[in-house]
Amino acid sequence: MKALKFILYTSVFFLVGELIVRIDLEYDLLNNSPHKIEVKIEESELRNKIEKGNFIPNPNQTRILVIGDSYINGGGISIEKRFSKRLSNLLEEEVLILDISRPSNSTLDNYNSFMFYQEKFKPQFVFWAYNFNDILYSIPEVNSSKKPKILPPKRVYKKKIGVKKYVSQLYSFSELIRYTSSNIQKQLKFQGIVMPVGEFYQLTQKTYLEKNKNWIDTKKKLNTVSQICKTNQSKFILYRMPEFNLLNHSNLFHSLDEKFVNYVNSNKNITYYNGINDFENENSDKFILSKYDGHPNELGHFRIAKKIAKYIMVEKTRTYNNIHKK
Amino acid sequence: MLFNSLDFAIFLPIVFILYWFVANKNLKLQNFLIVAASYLFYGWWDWRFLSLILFSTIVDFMLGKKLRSEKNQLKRKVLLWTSVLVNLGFLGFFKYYNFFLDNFITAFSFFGQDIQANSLNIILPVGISFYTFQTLSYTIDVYKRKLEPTKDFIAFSSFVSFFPQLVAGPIERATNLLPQFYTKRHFDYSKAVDGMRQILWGLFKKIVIADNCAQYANIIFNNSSEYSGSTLVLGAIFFTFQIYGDFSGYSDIAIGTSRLFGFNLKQNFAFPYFSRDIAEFWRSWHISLSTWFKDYLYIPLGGSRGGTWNKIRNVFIIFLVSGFWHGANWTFIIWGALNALYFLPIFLTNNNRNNLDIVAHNKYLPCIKEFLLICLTFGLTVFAWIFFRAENIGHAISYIKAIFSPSLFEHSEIFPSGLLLLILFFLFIEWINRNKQYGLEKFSKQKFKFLDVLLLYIVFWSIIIWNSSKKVEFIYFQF
Repeated sequence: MKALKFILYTSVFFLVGELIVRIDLEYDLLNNSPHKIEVKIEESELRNKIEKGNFIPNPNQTRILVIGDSYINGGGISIEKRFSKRLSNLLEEEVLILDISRPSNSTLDNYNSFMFYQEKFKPQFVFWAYNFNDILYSIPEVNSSKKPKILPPKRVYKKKIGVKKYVSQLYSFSELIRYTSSNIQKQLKFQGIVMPVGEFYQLTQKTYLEKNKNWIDTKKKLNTVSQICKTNQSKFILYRMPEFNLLNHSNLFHSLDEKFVNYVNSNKNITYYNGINDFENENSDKFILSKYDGHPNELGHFRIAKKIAKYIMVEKTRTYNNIHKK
Repeated sequence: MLFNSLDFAIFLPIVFILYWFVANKNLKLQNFLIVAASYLFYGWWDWRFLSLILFSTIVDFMLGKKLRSEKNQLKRKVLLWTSVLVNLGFLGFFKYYNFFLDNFITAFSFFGQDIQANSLNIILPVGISFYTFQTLSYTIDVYKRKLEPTKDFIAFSSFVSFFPQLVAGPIERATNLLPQFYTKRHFDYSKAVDGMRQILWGLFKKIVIADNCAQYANIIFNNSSEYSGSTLVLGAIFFTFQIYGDFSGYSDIAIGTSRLFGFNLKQNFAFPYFSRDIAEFWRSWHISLSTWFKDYLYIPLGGSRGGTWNKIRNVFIIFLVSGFWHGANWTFIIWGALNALYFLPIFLTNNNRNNLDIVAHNKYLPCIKEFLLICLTFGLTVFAWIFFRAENIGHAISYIKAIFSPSLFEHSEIFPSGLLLLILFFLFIEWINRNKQYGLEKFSKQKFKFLDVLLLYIVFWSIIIWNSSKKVEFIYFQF
């Protein structure tokens, strides 16, 4: 009787949890899903002009092309306080900034945007805000004339039975388990601990490996961009965007950053700017919108803009001096 | 250390295990463990201010002993005032120095005299208003010979720094808490379970109700000029539940944690939003502070004795001081004055003790008259909270002006129906348990056992799932 009671109460315990999670997923009662960052895309006159082919570059103007995802686009913050607006205000002389960053952009999207706009906009500076998860995209298949490989006949495996199958079935059914495990991972991540499962672990530990197709493709694309920039005599700034809620846990990105730095060191046409250095020893709470999300807040955008404005001013002075020396 | 943090979730079980399994055979060791744990708990925030607690503890311990042996009444008075001046001196310096300085400068500049004085960048030590009042109650009670001074320094240190209630109360009286440190504590399973339930309820109030209300209250109060009157009303209501959930939630966690260690603290909130008049509200809101002021300020001033003017003066003094205790800002003083104005009519007509029983006792619902009275009292409270929450008096006035404008009848720009549903659920639970010590206390009838368990599960999962993604500190830490 006691065992039955225990089973009953335990089942009710999990059922109540399952029910509440499902209600929350269905109706988002408190409207505070941790990953939900409001994104508004600004209508841009300049972009429209360029797209229609009506743009004529002014030789006296400094043109900056901003590329990236929602982190640099400014998800969750007002338009006036976003990076590109701040940068434009900080660079006192006449500058023209074309911000083609878009939420959810991957390296492939950024690359395609670059190819489309650089030709028409002719930027002197290409500012590419690289987010560590930009590497996730499916590589377009290229038609091949090669004959398809003949695969060996599929082996027939016995159906999995037992605990493992039961657990996987339960996992696929239960929203509660999914919710709880992802939240535990988030909480641990916020404390600087990463479990050797899940997307974040895969991304930081397994994706930036030499043999990984996406990393190979990303490098290829960045090489092409840097080559085009060199030909056009524009400066290609590859900005490593920090994960702002994890500023105090840079060790989580150690392996990834090592690979990334090795790559950029091998390509002299890329100016690598590690954004994390500008936030060293800072408390991440100051720069975040939500503790579960890595987007920078207004202060974060302002800090990036200030640093990049300074960097661009120095670069411009150097270029100016070089020309005059010659 | 915050109650709703991972640090505390690790700290509490460790202290619990050490307390009941390692130090359980020796009372002194148990008390010493409490002092060490309390100092660690406080020092986690800023260890430098531990010196203030230690100094207060030493001063009051010594003065208490002197007060016992001293027969000369004048010398006893001097000893008492030494304690009052030391404790209130710290409080005055850390909490009110800049306020008085700024107001003096403003007052002199009003008469055309410019005074050059620099305000100091003072950090307010967390919980100073709470432990100062707690130690003061000890010296005053010893002075009045209501309490024997303790000879046990460790027990006294435990009483002053007892971590569950150190930073935000309840403000315990020495007469209630100190003797509990002299007697052997035995682990009581049912008391511990009850403590856990109260902690759970406190977490629900803080994490689910207060923190989620805070998000909306902050948006609305910080951008009040952009919203319609109806939204501003909602903002004030959200703050009303935020402050209640936040503060009473802290008290519940504190009382529950104390029970885990075998201590009984007094109830600090008795379902104040079901009050039928403002006197009942003040009997059930922050009870430990209200009774402190009653016993150590209001009664020594003469209380309700004397003529009408004396009564009015005493009521105003107690409410203004209570407001000022909350913070060095005119908004708190106005909040106190407003409550005094609410209270005076029923006090002067001797109606302040009309509602001593539990509302709708032994009934499911209140009668219409009771319901209307509850709504009226709640409305008055919401109105007063606007001053409490506003940045300054100007902000409060413009907020109220915007409420009483034609836009009051417009659709609210913000209407978080999910949060409102949760608040209704919260009120429902509090209503059915309004005759108990806290909202989630076990149902006494066996036939409701399953319902009781179900409720526990709902509350537990709500905390896990509906926690706010923003980290919100306890409001009363700033007091």
